[in-house]
Amino acid sequence: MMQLLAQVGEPTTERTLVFLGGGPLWIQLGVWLLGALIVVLTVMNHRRLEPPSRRRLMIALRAMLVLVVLGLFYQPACLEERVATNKNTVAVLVDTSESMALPHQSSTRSALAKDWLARNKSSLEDLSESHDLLFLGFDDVVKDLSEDVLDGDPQHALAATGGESRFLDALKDVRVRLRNHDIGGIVLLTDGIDTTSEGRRNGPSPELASVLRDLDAPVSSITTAGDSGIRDLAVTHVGYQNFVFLLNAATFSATIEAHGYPEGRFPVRLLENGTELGTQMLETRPGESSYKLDFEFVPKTLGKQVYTLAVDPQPDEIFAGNNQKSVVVNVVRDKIRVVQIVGAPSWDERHLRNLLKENANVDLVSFFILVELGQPQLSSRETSLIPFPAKALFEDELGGFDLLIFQNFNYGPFQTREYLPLIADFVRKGGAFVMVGGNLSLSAGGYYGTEITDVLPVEIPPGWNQDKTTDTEVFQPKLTDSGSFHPITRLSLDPSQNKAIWGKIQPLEGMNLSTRVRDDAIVLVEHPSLKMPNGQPEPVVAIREVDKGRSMVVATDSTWEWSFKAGGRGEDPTTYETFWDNAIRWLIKDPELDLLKVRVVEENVTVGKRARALITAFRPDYRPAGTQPVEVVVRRRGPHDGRGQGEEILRRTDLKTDAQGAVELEVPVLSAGIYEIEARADIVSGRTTTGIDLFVGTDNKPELERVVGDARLVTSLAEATKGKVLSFGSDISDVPLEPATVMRVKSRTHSDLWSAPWALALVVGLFALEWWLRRRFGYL
Amino acid sequence: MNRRQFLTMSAASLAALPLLRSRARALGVQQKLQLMRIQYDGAYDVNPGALEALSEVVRTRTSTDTAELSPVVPLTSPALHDSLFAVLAGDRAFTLTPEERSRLERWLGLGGFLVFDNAGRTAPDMGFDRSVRAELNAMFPDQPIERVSPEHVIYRTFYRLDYPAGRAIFKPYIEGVRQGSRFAAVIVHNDLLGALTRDSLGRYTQVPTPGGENQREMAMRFGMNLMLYSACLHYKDDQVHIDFLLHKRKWKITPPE
Repeated sequence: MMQLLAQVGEPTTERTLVFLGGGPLWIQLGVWLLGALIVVLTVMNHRRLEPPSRRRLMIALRAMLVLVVLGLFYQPACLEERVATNKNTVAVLVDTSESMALPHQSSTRSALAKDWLARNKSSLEDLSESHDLLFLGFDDVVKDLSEDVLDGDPQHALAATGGESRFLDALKDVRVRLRNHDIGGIVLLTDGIDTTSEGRRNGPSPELASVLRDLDAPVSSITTAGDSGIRDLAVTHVGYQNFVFLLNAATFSATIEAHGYPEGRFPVRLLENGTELGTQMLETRPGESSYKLDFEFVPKTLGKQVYTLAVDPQPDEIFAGNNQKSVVVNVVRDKIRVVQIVGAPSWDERHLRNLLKENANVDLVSFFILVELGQPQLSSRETSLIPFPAKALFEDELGGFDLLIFQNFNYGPFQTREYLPLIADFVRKGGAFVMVGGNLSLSAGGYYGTEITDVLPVEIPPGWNQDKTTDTEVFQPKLTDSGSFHPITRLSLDPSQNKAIWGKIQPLEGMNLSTRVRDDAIVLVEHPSLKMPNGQPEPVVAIREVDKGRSMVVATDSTWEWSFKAGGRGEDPTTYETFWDNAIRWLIKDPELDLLKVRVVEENVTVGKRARALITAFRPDYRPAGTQPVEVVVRRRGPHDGRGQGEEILRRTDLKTDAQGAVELEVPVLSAGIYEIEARADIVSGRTTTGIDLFVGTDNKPELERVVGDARLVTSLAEATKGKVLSFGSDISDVPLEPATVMRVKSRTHSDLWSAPWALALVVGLFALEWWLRRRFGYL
Repeated sequence: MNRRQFLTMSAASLAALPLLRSRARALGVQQKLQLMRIQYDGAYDVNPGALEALSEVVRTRTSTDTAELSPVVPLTSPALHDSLFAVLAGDRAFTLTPEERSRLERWLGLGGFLVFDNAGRTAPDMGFDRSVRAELNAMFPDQPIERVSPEHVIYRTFYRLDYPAGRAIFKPYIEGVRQGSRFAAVIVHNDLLGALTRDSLGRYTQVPTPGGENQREMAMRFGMNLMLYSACLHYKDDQVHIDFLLHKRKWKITPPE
């Protein structure tokens, strides 16, 4: 490295006579007038003195005395300075980012930089006699370079391998290195591409402007930027939402940069998991390089999907690796579609309907049975009653709903018996079903022996007799152990607070009885004292996973009291809302409530690095599934591959969760593509639970997203600092630099002459001499 | 009501007994819908027996399981929160105590529905009317008292009605105060309970004017609509769009495998 702070000569001492006195002008004039008067009077007094030589001697002595006194009036002093002269420093920064390896005409950008250094070697060596030279390489870090970069870089210190280009960081580094030095100039050898936001601005940012002010030196660039001969198409940015709603239109906004194609038409494609969804034509125009295209699409599959925006590569473009960009988007359910069928108006129904209606995420269709069989016939002209559309609902449209609620609804009077198997089928195929109790529900509703009971979490007693199938007493519901962990009954995230809430929850009144809880069902809330025939507590809230669907029984119609009556007692009325919101989320399989979750740490992983994922497992009651064996398969999907398809690149059968139910996994990413991590575990008996997540292996590097420098940044640097933008055909002599030698005062002292003893002696001596001559000449 | 009408009604009721007896009873007394009468320092007990009559007609004509008795509930009583439907009737000025007002406001805010029934004899009693407005303004100063549009679902909750009938037809409209999208309290000017009030033998004691028994029937219907509005809210508004709602989603979700 060239030695900094080499000095021209040793420090020297410079002495200067300075005058410290004087004062205001009128005083100076007065003093001079007085002095002149004295001299004039002396001349007049001695005009008859003979011989003339004696006269002149006396006048001269007097005049000398006056001058000495006048001189002392100005307080002469000697200023002594130790001065050193320094050379300023010229910093040469060579861009070593990966984009410099790209071709430029018949060479590469990096080779052009090396050639420039070699060609200007002797000029640079001459320059070093009057300037200190500092050579640095910069990409995403700044590194020192040795002088042999002028000799063709035998040690390959200028190899273009850096992952990013950060001009601001490089200039900040120079500012730190040279903070106590003068900078004569900064020369950048670069392609002008900055991968930070500075590279996309028109004009320096406030931070960059501040750095340039501190540097206080011209910044010039030797660059290929702005060369119109480069051709490239690049997808530089994709604007998108991290999540979109199923079957709702969403938009991707692609920014495409086109250089060297003043007039052309290029297909731009949108792909979903490798399958093309749509194409638009990019039409380029002279004078423009940046284009925006919007793609509207309608996602049709839930879960994470990979979307890719790609512009067709051209045979003559400089780099095709930046022609596409992939993003991972989570497709979530849009509104939850709920059907609520109510056997009779009640406060329980009123509260549940209100809750569902007020929920912006719920599309609710309600049917209330307002008239019973056997009641007086009413004219349809006089009433607003409509027929119950059983066929349309259960046969035609049921599959379009997410959740079906039977709230104290007895199917019998309404010719719906034939549809009960369809409801059971709906649940098995993935739908959710809730039966809420009441005097028309469960056994009292005649459901014993129907297909509905096959999908319920409980078995119910036969018969309609309410005395044997219901209880009407008030009771304090009791949270079970499973209910302590389950998200449905988690009224507070804090377990002890949740327990406390359940301990003093508003009592319920009346419930429908069960005979048995199914083996694969879970009871969340139970009666404190009533028992089923098998001795187990009567279930109040029970749930069950049925094939792909879920069902729930709330064996009472008094949960509304958790809102209205609790609020009347001054307690928290939101318990009701929390319970039912939790229940709905679980029933419709909110992904946040999955029993086996796979979460990748980063959705985009560069090829060559390792992707990391966290797998967490819960038991059906949502306690952490500790020491749970988990099988993991990692696939790399090909075009048109869906879930569970693609090339298997990793299979682990030896994983087990820790005590908290979690296990980490690392996946080597050897090539670009869409990767799927699927975990499987036998958590629910008789069924394999799976979890899945996606990530994108990308060989897109930030450095190569934009490979054509547009000269905006280097031009703004030059304009702000009075530097220049030059081509690689220029020489160092074309680069403006600050003058070489800068003098700096190292130390300074001054000593007063007017108060020196010799000055006083001079005055006294002159007086004494005049006096002696006067005596000698007989004038005294 | 004359004797013939009474006997006819009784026979019909007896005939309906088997159906009524076979009707399922609510799981617990509190799960039946109670029609409460608010007790306050004033003429709260005008038109006795009317709420029982209304409760009975709701029970017999709809699937709603209502309580046989209509309790008289002070605003300071915990029993206020046993039901979401209440009537505050009167024929003279009144003032609630601050505690009563506070409790009533909370009851309304939690979902309660209150009918202020003006039982003025020859015209809506201005004292009662002023008192009602003053109390509503005190409880909900930011909510104006507004007319309930004839298009509002209250007029379609069960019966299709054009006007709010009562013992009289002093005004062809009712007014109310909203809480969110629902009316939490309505003011009936036409002495609704006066058309339904009965003696201990179950005989109606007042003749609605000018429409007589027809008007009583319309008052009954209006009372039923109010009761069912408290239980069903804007359910009937959805029914207009039922076809659209049912067929809105033309696709079936394919859940992730």
